[in-house]
Amino acid sequence: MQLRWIGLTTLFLLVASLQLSGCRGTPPEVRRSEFLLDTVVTITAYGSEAEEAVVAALAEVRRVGGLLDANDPDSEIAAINSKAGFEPVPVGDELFELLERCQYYSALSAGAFDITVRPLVELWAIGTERESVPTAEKIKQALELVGYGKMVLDRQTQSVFLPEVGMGIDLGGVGKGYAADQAREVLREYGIDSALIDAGGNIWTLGLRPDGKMWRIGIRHPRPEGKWKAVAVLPSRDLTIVTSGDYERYFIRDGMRYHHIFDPQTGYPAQELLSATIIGESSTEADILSTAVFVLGADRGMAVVKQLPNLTSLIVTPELHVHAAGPYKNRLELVGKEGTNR
Amino acid sequence: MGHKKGKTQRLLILSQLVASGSVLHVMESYLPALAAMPGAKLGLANIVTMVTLALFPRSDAWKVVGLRVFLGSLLAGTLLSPTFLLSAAGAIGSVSAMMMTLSASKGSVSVIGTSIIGAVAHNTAQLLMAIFLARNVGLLFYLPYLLVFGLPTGYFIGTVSGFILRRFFPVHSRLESTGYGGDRQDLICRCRICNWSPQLPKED
Amino acid sequence: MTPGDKTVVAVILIVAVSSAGLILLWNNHFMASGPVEVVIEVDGQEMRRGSLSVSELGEQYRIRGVVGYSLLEVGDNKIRMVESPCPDKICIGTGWISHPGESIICIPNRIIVRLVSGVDYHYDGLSQ
Repeated sequence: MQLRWIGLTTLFLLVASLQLSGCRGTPPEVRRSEFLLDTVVTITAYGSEAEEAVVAALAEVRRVGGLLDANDPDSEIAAINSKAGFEPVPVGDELFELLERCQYYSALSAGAFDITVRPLVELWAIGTERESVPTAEKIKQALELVGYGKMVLDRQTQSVFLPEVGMGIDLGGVGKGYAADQAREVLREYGIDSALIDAGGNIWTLGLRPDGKMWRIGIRHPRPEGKWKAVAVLPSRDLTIVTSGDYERYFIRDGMRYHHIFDPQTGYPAQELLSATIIGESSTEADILSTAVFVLGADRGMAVVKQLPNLTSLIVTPELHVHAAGPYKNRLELVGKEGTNR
Repeated sequence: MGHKKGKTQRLLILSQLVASGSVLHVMESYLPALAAMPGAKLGLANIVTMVTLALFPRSDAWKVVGLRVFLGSLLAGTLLSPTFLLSAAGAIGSVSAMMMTLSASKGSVSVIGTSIIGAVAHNTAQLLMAIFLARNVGLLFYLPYLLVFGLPTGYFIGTVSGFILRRFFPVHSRLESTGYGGDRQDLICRCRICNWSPQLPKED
Repeated sequence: MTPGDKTVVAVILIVAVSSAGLILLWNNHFMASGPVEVVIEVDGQEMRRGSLSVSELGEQYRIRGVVGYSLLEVGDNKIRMVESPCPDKICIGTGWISHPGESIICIPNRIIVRLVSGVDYHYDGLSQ
């Protein structure tokens, strides 16, 4: 009898081990962070090619960062800015296409998103030691140099011209999104099907987590209290989530919060919302639109988003009310205004 | 010579039990979790614990269970993760409860009752560990569900264990009707299958 | 099962029922102020989860069950089933639930609406 017991259990173990060994083994995780685009870019990927893929994706982000850096005197953007008021500057395909996209969204958002805000950015200098509240006169002067419509994009010569001295392009509202899209392309070329890109809070989720579940992406609470920093959590698969908020770079003078996202109409930091989040399938688009919605406010902002397909938006109003609209509205898990859970 | 053979066979059976327990442990982790009751498990690995408790002294049962939790978690890839701590808490809870039942009931509780107590203790210990890990006393809300859920699973596991004991270890066949509390030592002492005698003074 | 086994089962049932009672009492008295989460499960799968405190008054959840659509209505920190394709309508009869630990269960449509106290909102990345 005991022989039978031993025989049967051995057989059972053999069969079971065959079953179990087949579907085991979590793919190796590779996570790398680098200081790029004035922020930290972290890429996490899974799979046998993950190491090479992440290195290549970070290299791509580094390249994009160089391309879009207005403060690097050798960049095409710096050339355009320095030749403002003098002559058109021929640029490469990539930058030209990106500028065209920016102009398209500027028109769509009635100028709420505008890459020619550089004079305002320079004037306020938020995030530097020169930061201060400028006089109304200075803001008026700077505003005269702002306007996406003035920027001339010539397809024939593939050149960019800023017609007035003092004008300038600042791609701060689109750079992280574009870099995240590029990094995602690189990961896909390497066949990565499970990855998380965090380009300074611009999130791209590729596929599912290695445990087969959706990535869980928190959306930052603009005024976090207590333990939880998120206002909502989105289970996400092949989606990008981008948030613009007044908490990123700011200073407070006389009880007023002055932050880094300007309303190109007034020249002051936009006051309508505390944060705006766009969930979609292009991080460039989501980055641009989160800025546009943040500037436009609840009603006008949501109206712009509605014109475009497959976008979900979430906004937090100054009263800390949360509004969401779009296809993933019902998938959002709201965390609660207290920050939840003692 | 007979003594030596018995020792080898004892080792062999114990190893088989550890291995089977580990595999059942892993298989259990593949079963779809009951969404309505997190933490509610069938407790397949408890079959092995029951068989071990019926055939071998307590120290061996602890060894088998300890190795099973370790190897099972290693195979399932959960070693030292919260899942591992939950398994360990459940295993310790159920083994201690079943041992206490065996010595206290003096045979009045059968393999089924013992298994039910094991299942309930397993669930309770796991829940307490989960409350500790999640720092969320609210999980206590599951306690009544888990207690009740332990009844059918314990009954099932007890029935299977009883069947295995009857089928493969006929000398223990009386376990089912009388329980193995009082008679257990005697039964094992006279075990014709293993041809092995436990050294009584070592236990207790 | 021996008489001993039956005693075991009886004792466990008594402990389960009394602990359920104690937990309900405790919930009502001490846990009422915490954030409450709604978890909606269909056929064992979690379909939706949300916090009751930020749900808008009068908002309705349309849930597709095994038989058909059920309709849930959110009130002031409470939730109830208002429409269900099931024959017995026990779920609608449950009325409002508002405390962690309470649930609305519709067996024919395989829908479970549970209230739990706010849990860990773990996330893999933070959009900011």
